[in-house]
Amino acid sequence: MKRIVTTLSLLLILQLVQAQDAQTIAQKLVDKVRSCKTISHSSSQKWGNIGDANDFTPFSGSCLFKMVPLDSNIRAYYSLKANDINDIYNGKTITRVNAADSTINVTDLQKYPGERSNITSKMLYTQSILDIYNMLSPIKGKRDYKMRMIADTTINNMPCNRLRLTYTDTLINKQRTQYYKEISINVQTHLPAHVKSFSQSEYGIQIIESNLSGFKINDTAINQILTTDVNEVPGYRKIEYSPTLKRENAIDLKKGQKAPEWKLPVVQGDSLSLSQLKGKVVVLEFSGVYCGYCLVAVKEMNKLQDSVDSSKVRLVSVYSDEVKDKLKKYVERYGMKFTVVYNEKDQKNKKILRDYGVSGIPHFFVIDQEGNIAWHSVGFQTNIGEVLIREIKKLLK
Amino acid sequence: MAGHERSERRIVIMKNTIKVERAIKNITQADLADLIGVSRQTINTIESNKYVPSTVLALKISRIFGKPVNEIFELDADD
Repeated sequence: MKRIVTTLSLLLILQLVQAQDAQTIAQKLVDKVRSCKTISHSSSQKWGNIGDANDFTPFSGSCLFKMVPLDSNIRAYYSLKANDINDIYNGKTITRVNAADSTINVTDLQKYPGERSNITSKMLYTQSILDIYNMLSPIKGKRDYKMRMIADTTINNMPCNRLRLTYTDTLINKQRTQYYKEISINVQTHLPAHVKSFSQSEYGIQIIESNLSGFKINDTAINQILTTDVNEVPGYRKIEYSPTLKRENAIDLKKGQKAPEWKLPVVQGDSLSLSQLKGKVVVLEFSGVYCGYCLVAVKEMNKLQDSVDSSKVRLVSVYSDEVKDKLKKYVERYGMKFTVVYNEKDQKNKKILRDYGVSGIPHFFVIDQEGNIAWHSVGFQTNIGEVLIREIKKLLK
Repeated sequence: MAGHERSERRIVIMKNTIKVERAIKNITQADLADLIGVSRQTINTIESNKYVPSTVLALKISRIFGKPVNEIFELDADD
């Protein structure tokens, strides 16, 4: 018995020592950064295993930052300066872009025609030292994390201490690990050398690894550009690329445009298509059972249903990824008085979402008697009921 | 089964740290909107939790800030 107690207390002490170590290491990094007037470093980032979104492939980018922590009591202030020349790796080729004060469309990457992703010289695809600083400093955000030291490691042949920060989510009594971060801190310089984030969620598994190197502390040549060696990336090929300024909207649907046709099963009946509703004003709402404000919108839609002439106006709500029975219970529970249509769960073809450019919920459309789009609005707003009535009245005149 | 029902009854709000991330990167809502190809209103409604972004949109935002989606979007139950 005595032995067990001794072992247990020894273990406890060991754990405490370990925890202290982690705190000490973190504190050293924070102190170091805090004492600096400026820090610049370069960093490269690699993404892997990102969910089911096919247009996201592993890539890495590189850049230079500067940081000027001014006041230890507030979030560190820092200014960023990207390399004028950036090499962007898209998984297969490297694109060299000139980032000087311009917006760059990286979509050159013809391989991903669906994606529109731009970077400016201000935007950096990197895990900044500031993030690490803020994370480890006592002035942390509202999220709690557990910090512990795990096995030491070497990065670029330099011995490093490795800290693991585990974040828990708020849904299940803060029990489930939401994500963790491993930060490898150089033993000698107390600066981070490598950061790995791992997260698993409904979005799939995401792993982001960043290498931080080329630190310059209290340097005077602010504008000096650090060059990052990218030759080691396999398949390296330089492409000359001149940036163009591009402003586009994902939702290309405009007023007066023909509303895309759809035909979907109805929870309260068989099926419904847009063409069947010709001659009526249609309020089309994209919604979901997992979205808080959509539920608030349900109440507004019910109110609206009561106040309109149902021979002239039809209210339709679209739920995606649903099973009929489950959705039916939901519809009954919240007493939905309007038509609810749905996309079957796991059905790959979510045509209606693509056609209407829906990139989230709730999203409201008003379609006129001729089947043209009269109005649309992204997200919930407190006066959505009034706004919808106003738009409907315009069409009924 | 009971747990399942309870989880259904809760209103799940998605909280996010986009505002903070924007402040760190020093970009405006309009900048972010341009970067991912949506309207400024979309970013506004996402920030105020009145709009739940799709997976692809959330991933795009996460990539702009160089952080996993989980670090930016947080599910929160509002009983």
